[in-house]
Amino acid sequence: MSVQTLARLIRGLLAGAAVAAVTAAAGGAQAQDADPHVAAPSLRLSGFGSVGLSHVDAPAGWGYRREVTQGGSDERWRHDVDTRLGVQLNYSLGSRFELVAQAIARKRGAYAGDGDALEWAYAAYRPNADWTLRVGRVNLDAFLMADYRNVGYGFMAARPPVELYATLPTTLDGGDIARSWFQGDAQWRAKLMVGTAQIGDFHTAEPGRVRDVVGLMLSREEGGLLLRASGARTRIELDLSSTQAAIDALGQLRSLPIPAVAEQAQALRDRLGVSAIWATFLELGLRYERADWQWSAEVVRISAAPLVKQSSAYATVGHRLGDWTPYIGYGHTRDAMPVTPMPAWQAVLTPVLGPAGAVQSQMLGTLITDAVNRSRVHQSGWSVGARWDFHPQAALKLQWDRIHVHAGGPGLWTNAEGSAGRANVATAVVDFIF
Amino acid sequence: MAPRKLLLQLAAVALLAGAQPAQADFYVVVHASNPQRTLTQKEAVDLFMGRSRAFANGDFALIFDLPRDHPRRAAFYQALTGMSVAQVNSYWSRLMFSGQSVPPQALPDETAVAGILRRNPSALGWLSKEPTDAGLRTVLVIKEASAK
Repeated sequence: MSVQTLARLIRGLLAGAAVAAVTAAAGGAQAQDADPHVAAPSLRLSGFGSVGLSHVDAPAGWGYRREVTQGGSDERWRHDVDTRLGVQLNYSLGSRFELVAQAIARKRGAYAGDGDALEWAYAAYRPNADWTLRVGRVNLDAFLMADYRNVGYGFMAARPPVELYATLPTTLDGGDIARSWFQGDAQWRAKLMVGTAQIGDFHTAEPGRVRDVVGLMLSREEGGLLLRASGARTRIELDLSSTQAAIDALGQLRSLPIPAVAEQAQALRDRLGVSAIWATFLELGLRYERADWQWSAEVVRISAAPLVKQSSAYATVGHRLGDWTPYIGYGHTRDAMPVTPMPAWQAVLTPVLGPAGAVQSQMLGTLITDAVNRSRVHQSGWSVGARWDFHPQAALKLQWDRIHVHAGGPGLWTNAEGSAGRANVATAVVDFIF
Repeated sequence: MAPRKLLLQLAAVALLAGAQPAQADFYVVVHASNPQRTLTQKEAVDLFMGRSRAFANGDFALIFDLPRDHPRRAAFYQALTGMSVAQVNSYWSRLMFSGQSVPPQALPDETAVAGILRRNPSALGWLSKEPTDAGLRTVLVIKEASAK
């Protein structure tokens, strides 16, 4: 996290706390309730965690991870994929004001900032029972499981479907305002979110900033059926300082009088030179819990061409049999941006640039194309597993994942080649809350 | 909680359970001055499951519950929502750790719940014995779910 972000976060928190304190004082003077239990501030400490072990059988060198903010490793036995510990503090000042902080310890990518461990820190104000205003670092409620994706105990499978959840932005530094209301038996919720977040592969590069996020979420819940839709518009900013030399070199190749090379160089430069781009997130989600059945399905579309045009979807169904819930799920994600063809420049460039220049240009083209294609995501996978609620506050999950990485789509893995690959991941994880 | 105290409480609960009929009712209770006369089961579910925060007149409801591992609590939620205690806890973990809502405040036992209800006009809680106290009003009676 940058210093500015931290400063903004602290300012946001202070502002929220100040508003809370002032209004609490004002409200307290004319409090209708003399009982200490109404006005007394209450502090609650709670937490959640997961202890997992996975056996990963994948092409040599490939590193599995459940989100691209994590590092990966090519070891066969992995305890760092799902293992995490979260602690949350809720400080309530009556029914209207609340301060909440949550920190999570887990495996993170090499480029993750120290402040990333702070999942949330916000001040909430409820002017009445229907409205909630939050300021600080909040969850970006743009996806069905985004709010609780780290709380294994809260969902059925070992981890949220990686095909959709691996590439999502981190939490939102800003705020949101939500309203909930009843219409007949249906409960509606609407939320407006604004702020900034981070996105990107924290294992290989500095994360990109997602600025000026403006998101809307609408949900309807009735009789165990939750339907939701959300949309967000944001500007993605990427730090190009490490790639500027390559971008300049491509700029020179682009102006050569050899159409085949110039065109490819132009395309690569367009892709690599994206430093600020508007992106749109659209989401539709469903969760249905009725009797002993649990269904969930979600579709997400991220449009940020020429960077990415990602479509992701999954469906999971489970059936509770006493304390056991066997489940099966399928997920798929695909980038509609085409695989970049490997340039073959050396032969045509030799007469123009000389042998050394041609070799250099070829190497540059190959390296960049490889990097671009490695970040592309095209993957599908089946999950089969069972959750065992062996304790009221803990569950064991056993899951087997069969993953198919399509050619030119290994972006969810670390150090993966651009070729197609198959992997099997077997996981045992204990999730708990306290 | 000290193990000895826990043991004593468990023994007390076991005695109570033995003394009562197998099928007991649950009483959703408010302060006698609360304008809420009755609650439907749906309204009670919404309040106890964090979907709504207020009584019909818009006043915030302060909701009280027994500790997460209390045996009567599991029976109450089974009767109220049809969900097992694991499902209820999993549901709350989703709301709690996403900042949407905080579970009802847990008090050590029903005596403490009755005490708060008697003192606090905004309080809402449940008891497994019908309150005879004039300071309390039952707004809903829930039949204990038959064991599956």
